[in-house]
Amino acid sequence: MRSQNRWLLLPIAALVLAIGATGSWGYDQNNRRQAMAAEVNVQYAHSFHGLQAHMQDLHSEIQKAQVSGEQTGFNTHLRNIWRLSDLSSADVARLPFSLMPMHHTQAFLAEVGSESDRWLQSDVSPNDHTVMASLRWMEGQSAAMIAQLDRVQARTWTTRGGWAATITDLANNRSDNQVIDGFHKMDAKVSGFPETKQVPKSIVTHRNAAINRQPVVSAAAAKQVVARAMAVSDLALTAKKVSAFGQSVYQIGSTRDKSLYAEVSVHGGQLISLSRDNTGTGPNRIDVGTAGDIAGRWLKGEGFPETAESRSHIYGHEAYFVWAPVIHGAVLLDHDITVAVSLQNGRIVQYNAKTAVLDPVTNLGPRRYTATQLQRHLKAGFQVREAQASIVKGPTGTFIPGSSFYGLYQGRAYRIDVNAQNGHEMNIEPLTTT
Amino acid sequence: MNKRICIAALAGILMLPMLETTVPPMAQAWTNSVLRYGSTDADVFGVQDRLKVLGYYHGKVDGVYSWRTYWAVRDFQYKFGMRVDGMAGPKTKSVLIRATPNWHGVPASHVTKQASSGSPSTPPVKGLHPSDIHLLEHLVAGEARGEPFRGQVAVAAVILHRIESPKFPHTIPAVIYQPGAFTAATNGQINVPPDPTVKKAVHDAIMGMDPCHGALYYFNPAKTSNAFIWGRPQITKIGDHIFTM
Repeated sequence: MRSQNRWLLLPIAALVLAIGATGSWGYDQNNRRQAMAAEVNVQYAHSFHGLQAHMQDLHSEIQKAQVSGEQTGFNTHLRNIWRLSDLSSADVARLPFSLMPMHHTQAFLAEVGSESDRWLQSDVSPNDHTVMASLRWMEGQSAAMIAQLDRVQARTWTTRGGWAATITDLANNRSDNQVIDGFHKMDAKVSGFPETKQVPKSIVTHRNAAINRQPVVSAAAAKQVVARAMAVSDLALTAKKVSAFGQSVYQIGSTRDKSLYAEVSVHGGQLISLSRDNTGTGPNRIDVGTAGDIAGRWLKGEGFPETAESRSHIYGHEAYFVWAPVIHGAVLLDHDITVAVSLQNGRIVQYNAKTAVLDPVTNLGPRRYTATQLQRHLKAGFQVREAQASIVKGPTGTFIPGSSFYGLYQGRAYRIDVNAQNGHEMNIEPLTTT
Repeated sequence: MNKRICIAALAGILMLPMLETTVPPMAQAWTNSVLRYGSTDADVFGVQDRLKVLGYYHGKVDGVYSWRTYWAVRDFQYKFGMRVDGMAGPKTKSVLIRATPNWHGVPASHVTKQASSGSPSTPPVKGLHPSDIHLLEHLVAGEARGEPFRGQVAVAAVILHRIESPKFPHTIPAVIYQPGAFTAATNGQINVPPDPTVKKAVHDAIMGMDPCHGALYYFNPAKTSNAFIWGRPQITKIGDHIFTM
């Protein structure tokens, strides 16, 4: 009997030990969960209150910008608007994303930042009516957001469980959480700039008119453009007219070569883009120099008699060359034309001139300063190696005559683009990438 | 007989140096390739080092025909009365050889060897850093795995369009991690390593290929009923994705 009792003690002891260990583990897990929930609460609360503060400061700066009458002061307020919209965007990004499923808030803040940056770059006057109208609109939108955020703040104090509970309710799609409801209402009320405000309507009209003045070509003619570019006549091409980039284009395919894809403009019949698989095999047989000559000669046949090569690189068995069109002796920057050549068989495998074809230069202003005059204002120590006349597209969509200076500063190569109408620096492009 | 053979052999040996001087310098040194900006042929090392010896080139001897190499070649061509085009073809190379008779090869101390990953990589362009390109490759791998190549190019193009649009953030990480923007960024699919096809698709999108014609959104019609995305103007369909403004 005594030995039986002794044997009974062992499993009972083991059971007690197991219960104790489980309890300890459970207590530890609970502590960790509580700590994480507290951390989440603090972080989301920080982001929310930060958003409130930044939005209020943003609203205040928008009001001050409307009152400012002096250029330097006005620019300071525009810089603050840009900075505060960026900070507010960062706060929104740190909140649970399901709170603002329509993303209107994020789009609004991004547009405020973009517009203020564009105004700074264009050096707009504090008396510009269009800018004032936009600022008034921003003021109204931000005021509505602040009012809604204040209501949400009142609810965060009363919602049981705080932000952790809000996240749980979001995950369970519960509709009775007032914090969630408040954010959804705010996001639904905020609206963005109309699309046409991004580039002035008059500029879009001029551009389209310039393209539409060219004669319309048929689908058969478009297929011939591609066949000539490919230097083959038996590709069994297909053509389909579609609307793309605000224009009508023909999409060209081939039933024999499924990898072939090309686009030809309906107005003017110009090849916009082309791609096909590189069917070359074995090692590279052509060097980059020869590939560049092939690309350059081919490009001349595609309606670009004068171009300037800006960069090139090798990718696998293909050499890629990037050219810029030359218009009346000036290099048109940021309208890249890309040509890729197979280093195995010298065939053209890719071409893209979308911007060069569909965004022609219109309304180019006169040059007021020569390259020599502009070079005097470059930073001392910048060794100019080359200078060329250039055309740059400005932030408002207009084309600006300029001069581009290529050179070295402290051993690194750069290109500096200077406005030939007002002498201001427009852009600095690092050319040394290693 | 043996004496005649010995004399003939001796004459041949003595004539050898003369033969060497009549061989064009090119055959002694490099290939016939034309080097230009962007070239990474083995010949580039020799061009850079010879120009360094002559004092025209002051950069690293790294085998990459950079802007500095290009300008050094132009200076050399100008000084030696050649056509100035910045390209080192057979003529420029032969003149360079003659101008550096005491050059004995690239010393190891002059060479800064570029690290090679063995696989092609997209060069950083237009404000995109290598880290941006890697992130973009991961996103496309996560979002468009299994889609046709053009569809993968289009997905990459959508992200590039967004950074240029005033309605979206202006960096690749901010666009990709914008709350609710891409499922792959939140469900871990972005961690899938990109294969060579995806990398090529991203490369082509960065080089300007745009099969989605400026689209800012895309969705799989079989997987979403979101009213916002269905209400956007549709542009084209590639694979399983509809691309919209």
